[in-house]
Amino acid sequence: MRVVYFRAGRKAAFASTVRLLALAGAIAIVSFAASPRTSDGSASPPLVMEATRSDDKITLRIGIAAEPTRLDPHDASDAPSSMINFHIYDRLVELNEEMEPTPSLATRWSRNERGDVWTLELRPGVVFHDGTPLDARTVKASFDRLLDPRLGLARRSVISGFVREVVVRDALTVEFRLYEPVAPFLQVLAHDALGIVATNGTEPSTPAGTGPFRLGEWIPGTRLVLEAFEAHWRGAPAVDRLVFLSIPTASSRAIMLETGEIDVAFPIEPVHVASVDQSPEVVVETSATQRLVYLALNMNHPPFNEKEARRLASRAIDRASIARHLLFSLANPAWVPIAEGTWGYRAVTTPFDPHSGQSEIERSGSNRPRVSLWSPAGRYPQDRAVAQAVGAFLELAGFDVEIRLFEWGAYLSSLRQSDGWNAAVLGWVPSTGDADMALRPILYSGSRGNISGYASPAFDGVIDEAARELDPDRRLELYGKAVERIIEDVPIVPLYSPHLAFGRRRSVEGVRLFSTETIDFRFAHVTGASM
Amino acid sequence: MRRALGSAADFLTALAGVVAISFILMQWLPGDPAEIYAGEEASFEEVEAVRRRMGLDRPLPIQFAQYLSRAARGDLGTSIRSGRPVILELRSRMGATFLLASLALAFAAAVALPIGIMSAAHPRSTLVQSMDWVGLAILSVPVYWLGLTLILLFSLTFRLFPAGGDATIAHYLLPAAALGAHTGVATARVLRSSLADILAKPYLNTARSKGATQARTLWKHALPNALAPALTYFALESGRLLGGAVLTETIFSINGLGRFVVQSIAFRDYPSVLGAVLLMAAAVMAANLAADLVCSRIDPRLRGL
Repeated sequence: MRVVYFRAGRKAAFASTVRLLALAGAIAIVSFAASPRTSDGSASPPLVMEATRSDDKITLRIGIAAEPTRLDPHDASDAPSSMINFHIYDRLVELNEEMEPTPSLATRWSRNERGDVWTLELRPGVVFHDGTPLDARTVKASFDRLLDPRLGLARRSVISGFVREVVVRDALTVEFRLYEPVAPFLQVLAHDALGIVATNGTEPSTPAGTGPFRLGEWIPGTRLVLEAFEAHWRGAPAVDRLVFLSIPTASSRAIMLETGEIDVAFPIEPVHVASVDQSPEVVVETSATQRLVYLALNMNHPPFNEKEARRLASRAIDRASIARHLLFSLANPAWVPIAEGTWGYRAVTTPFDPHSGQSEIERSGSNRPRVSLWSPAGRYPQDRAVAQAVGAFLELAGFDVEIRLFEWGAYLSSLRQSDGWNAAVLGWVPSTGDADMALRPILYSGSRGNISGYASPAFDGVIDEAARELDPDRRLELYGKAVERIIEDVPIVPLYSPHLAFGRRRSVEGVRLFSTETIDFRFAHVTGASM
Repeated sequence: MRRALGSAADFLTALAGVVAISFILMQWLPGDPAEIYAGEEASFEEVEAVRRRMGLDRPLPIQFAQYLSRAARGDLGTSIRSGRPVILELRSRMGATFLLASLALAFAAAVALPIGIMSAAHPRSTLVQSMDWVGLAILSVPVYWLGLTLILLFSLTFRLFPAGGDATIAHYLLPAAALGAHTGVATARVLRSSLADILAKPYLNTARSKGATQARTLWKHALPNALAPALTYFALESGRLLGGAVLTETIFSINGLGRFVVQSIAFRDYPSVLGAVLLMAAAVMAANLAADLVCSRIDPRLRGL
């Protein structure tokens, strides 16, 4: 049957479509109006505006992978929150690029002979965003809050193991009394979680620090705006406003940087670095990090309860080719448990020899030992591919490998609760930039991050001694010994340290990316060229 | 009145069932919110302190009973991840998702009606047959692929639409098209087959023999009867749309319920997941209820059911 349209029919079709569209449009407008917008009514920016200057304010729009959860440095353990908190709260001490402590809220420091009492002099004339002046009492209150066990704050363990008591010496002098000598104590004070918080009657929802930016507006999930704090002790920052937008898809982040919808994209995934860098308006900057991606070996079960099997696994994995081919050379291959850039690093390379292993296993005459290799999927750049490569290298060495991939939220607790794994891909970044933080959490007997089940009194003794040793040269020697122990015992196989990359519009300058994975917009500025 | 009460009771029972199933599924999933909250650097003691503070150390049946009794009073609890009330978290995100879904439905309707009618009326025309191939291609492609392709084409190459964000209505056009395309094409196919069936029915010959124009036959006599199955299908699709919104919102950086659910599951933020599932289930049920009402207006035979 064939039905032919007449004019009237076409009109009717049009009319009914229009009516339906109008109805849907009305629904759309109502729900749009019902959704909360910005409080100042200055929403709806133009579609694509070539960055940065509107209403005489210099604004930096920063696309980030995940949104922050809490603007309380003492209670936030996720990277996006730490990044925001880094700009709202100053710490007493900061680290420079050589991981040496430099002044921030504290201008001078000294310690007693033993190294268990540290005295810090505070910078005069510093005020919090709410107008409260900073003095020894407010600093003590901030530390007491974090240390209070009743509050159960997420970052308490950053200092609870070291600090016995914080004492006000005079208006601008605080004293930290420690349980025992801690050589890298200033590095600990530079930890992102130790921002000084104004605690008198201040809830985390109205955060007040002394940092160069204060919270302007936060629409959770959409955007977080930091405004320049004019009264900052370093002077007002060159940028008036930082707008953080959460853009979870890596390729969308890269495209929005290219189209100019954002000024900075962080991070840029290794797969995208080369293509984004080709765009003429965009610059990609990469930085080596202190993150160590490693293979933890389960020492409680065969085959890796045997030292020989662990050494074999370590010799069998070609880190250099993993770094070159799977991470596009955006990683440094690693042979020691302290990443390059961390204080205490020492260059050691062990040769890769795929054939030695095979013959050893054949000589032993047994069946191929089974290895269940676990890895997160989507946590570290290229982690699936790395797990497959590691599995293939272990197969070459004569193991019978089965790979299991996990969603991150399930991964760590599954590793802790299950005996079903033999090798696990993990990552660790020492946020103080110090060897103690690199080794203790993942290798000390009974540490929560010590997934391998490594328990070596000799190793524990060496790093305990190193943590107390105040002479840097002697300390370095001790970490050399500790590293030798790990190379000897192989509880973990270091794989590589990934580089981290961010992209910026060419007009944005002064953004710094540290090897601790902290990105710093405090000294960012915008050049006139494209405004 | 009794019918209304009855369907309200059905509605609540279904919602309670949805919450119970989600709660069990979330508990079944490996992973521990206290551990995720405290982070990798925390010691064992810190994780336990966080667990106590969150009330996660209590037995599961008690946690569930507490949740239900609070939810019945309109309190959906506090997000583990952010510490804000779940109601506020949902309120700040549902606008974006409902806007996206309505625009996607509008787009789908705008695609489905003309294409469905045309292809039933002119099944052998070249235009219809080529559209068939395009439709088949769209049906076979996952929504995230379609979304990324649209971004590459219309944002990066032609620079017509923004690639991500939700600040203006223009930000919603590409994602709505990506999300609605599948529904539009699928509904067009349902409409085509039901319309083709009806066009072959003898009563239309009666209409034609009484002198009705072809247009009148199509619009007045055939279409209303053909619309009911398409509408029902359309309403069922609203659930799938909310599922597709999860991916679309992630790719286009829209801060809606879909992305919120993904984040909350990754964090094992039980109260947030349950709250969002509750809201989405209610929306899907409401959409189906609305479709039933509309259908019974179009088709009197459905009124008694």
